[in-house]
Amino acid sequence: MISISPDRGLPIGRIYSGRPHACTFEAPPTRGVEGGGSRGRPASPVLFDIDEMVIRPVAQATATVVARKT
Amino acid sequence: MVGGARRVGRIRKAVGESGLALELDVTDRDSVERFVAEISKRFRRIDVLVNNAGGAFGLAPVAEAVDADWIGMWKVNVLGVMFVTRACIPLLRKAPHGHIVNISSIAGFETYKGGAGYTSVKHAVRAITRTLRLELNGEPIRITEIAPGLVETEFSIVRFKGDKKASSAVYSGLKPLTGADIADCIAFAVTRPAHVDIDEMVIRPVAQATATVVARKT
Repeated sequence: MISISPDRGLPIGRIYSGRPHACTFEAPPTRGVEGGGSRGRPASPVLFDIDEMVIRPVAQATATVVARKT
Repeated sequence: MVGGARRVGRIRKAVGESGLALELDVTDRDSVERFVAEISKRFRRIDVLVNNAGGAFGLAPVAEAVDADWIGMWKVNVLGVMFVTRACIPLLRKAPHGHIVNISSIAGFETYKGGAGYTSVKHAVRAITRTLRLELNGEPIRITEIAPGLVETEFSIVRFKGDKKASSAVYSGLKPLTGADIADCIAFAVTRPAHVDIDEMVIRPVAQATATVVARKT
């Protein structure tokens, strides 16, 4: 299970530990399973868990620290 | 691509024929400065810096902590990141869009018995990464923390000082991540559009819930 949050990831994957069928994400970067989907292997959703991913605009350091062009 | 390592022969294989392999000891400030000076002379800028060097030495509880292990961990994991990052920032500022990728660990936000030396240094890497994000805010430099769980590399061989039995037990009964899995995540982070900062990625084998909760097949 993957949690993607613009603010903070939620560790919801933990309740599924040991149950590979629960890892069913489809979005990138899952092409990296089994040591290198970037080398052309098909994605497999069962071995590689992106537990959390936090994404911000490069201008945002924290929720309140944002570099704005004036 | 420029790769730096103490073992130049190994890093040469990693960077391939089109890359440049240079000797680098991240714990030695002079070595770091020589390394960055060579990059500056050849390329004038750095687009992406990946701080990958690190490691765990020993698994002793705090009450029995081994000085040399702790000092070694702080030198390679923390001072190394500082030496290299400090030296590279001027060249990152010369790139249109610089990017610093720090390889930390789930040990950067978890703890486990016997792991205080390693978890403390990875907590420090996390703190450095977050501080950099504040200090470089407003500049076109992205900061990414990659936090892997169990990855089968030489990590455990080093931690257990060559004890192959203890090392292989760490990865027994599950399919661990590989270095290539982590490289793939780095490649994803650095190839996003310039305004998108992958702030953190936490990657585990699906059988690993926390540093100490791992589903193993017996």
